[in-house]
Amino acid sequence: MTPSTSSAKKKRSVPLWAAAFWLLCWEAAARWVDEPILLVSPLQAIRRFFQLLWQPQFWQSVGFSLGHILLGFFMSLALALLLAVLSYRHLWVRQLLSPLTATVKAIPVASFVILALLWVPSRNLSILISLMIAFPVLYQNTLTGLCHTDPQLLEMAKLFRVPFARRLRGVYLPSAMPYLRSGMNIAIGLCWKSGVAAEVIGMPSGSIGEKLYQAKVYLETPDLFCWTLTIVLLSVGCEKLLSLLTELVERRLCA
Amino acid sequence: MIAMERLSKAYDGKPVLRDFSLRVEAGEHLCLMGPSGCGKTTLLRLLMGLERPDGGSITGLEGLRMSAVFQEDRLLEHLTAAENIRFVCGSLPEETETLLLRLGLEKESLSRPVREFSGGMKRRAAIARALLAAFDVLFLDEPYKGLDADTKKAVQDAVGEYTRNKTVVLVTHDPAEAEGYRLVEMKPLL
Repeated sequence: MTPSTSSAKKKRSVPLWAAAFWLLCWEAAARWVDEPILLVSPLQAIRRFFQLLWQPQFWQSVGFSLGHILLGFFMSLALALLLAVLSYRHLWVRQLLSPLTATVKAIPVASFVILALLWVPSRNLSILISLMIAFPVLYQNTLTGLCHTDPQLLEMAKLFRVPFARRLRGVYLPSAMPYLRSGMNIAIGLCWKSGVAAEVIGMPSGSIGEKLYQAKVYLETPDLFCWTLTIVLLSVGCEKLLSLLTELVERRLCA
Repeated sequence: MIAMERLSKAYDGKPVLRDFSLRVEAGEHLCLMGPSGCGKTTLLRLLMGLERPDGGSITGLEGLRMSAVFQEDRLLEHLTAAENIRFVCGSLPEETETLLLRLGLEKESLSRPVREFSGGMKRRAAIARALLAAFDVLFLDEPYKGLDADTKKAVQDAVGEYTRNKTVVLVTHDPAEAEGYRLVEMKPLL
């Protein structure tokens, strides 16, 4: 690891002292409120979290939501890559898609969810919502990356008659990957936020969203915090795993 | 034979070439000289097929394999010098390392990506790439820019060796680099 990447990582990660400070604030607020229905302490939330970990239903819900949201994300990624390449090559495709992506970006998630409930069963709602919410970010970032491809390198490749597959690996991918990577990091977080919101509204049986809603209805505040913590952990975990996967793919393809 | 007949090219309405005609025999080494802005690089770009002329025609390049050293190095910065060569050649020519060392690149530098190279090292990597690519016509646009006298001599010797019996079009401002080339003076349009 070079010194620059190491220092960049140091800057990015949350310092331990800052995390401890906010946990202490949370603990102090919980003691001050002194009403677990309104605000549980971090210790209570963590204790409940470890209890939930042993329940098979917990893992079923995690599996359900993870599967649906990731499926939506990867479908969105495939669609975004395809359309971004077409938009890069044909201006009319870019023009055709620009109102669509602008509209999708502007529509609130809640409106989307309610509309989508008319078209798809609630069981598959989070797939569609993740797909729709991630699409503009993934599409736009890939397109921007492709548009930033160095035209001088493309001319060089053209002159030497480098075949398209090699050009893709040597010129296009190294240019588009930083943009795509950052788009994927943003999009996976958005998928979790919107996907769970869709589950809370659509309440498909056995999803995290359903559990979150039930915790709210039955005033099980520790459960509410636990499920929120689970969503955060899943979202961060997916983001890290995707970064790792992207890095591996990039190293293999761009070498 | 490459034949340029009454070539014209303008950028934003400003003519750079007007009714320019020239013939280059197969295997000939031709040097274009002239002040900046007289259209030397534009002419190379037209010959390389990177731009289309506004008027006139170029014949004799059909089916010929081209190679070039551009004014800029145009290397894939994340790859090593050898990987840059493989990028254009498809596979690594046997003499890759020998040529890179002959051009003055040190052995330890061959495992480093070219983004870590100095300007002169990048230039030599770009020249090696152009010489190792299979070509019938080689275009050299100020290829020795930024090289010190000793390195330049070694690079010129290698260029001479690799371009024997092949067509070369060189653009330079230095008359010493044009030795052995048929000289064509270009003048800026009034």
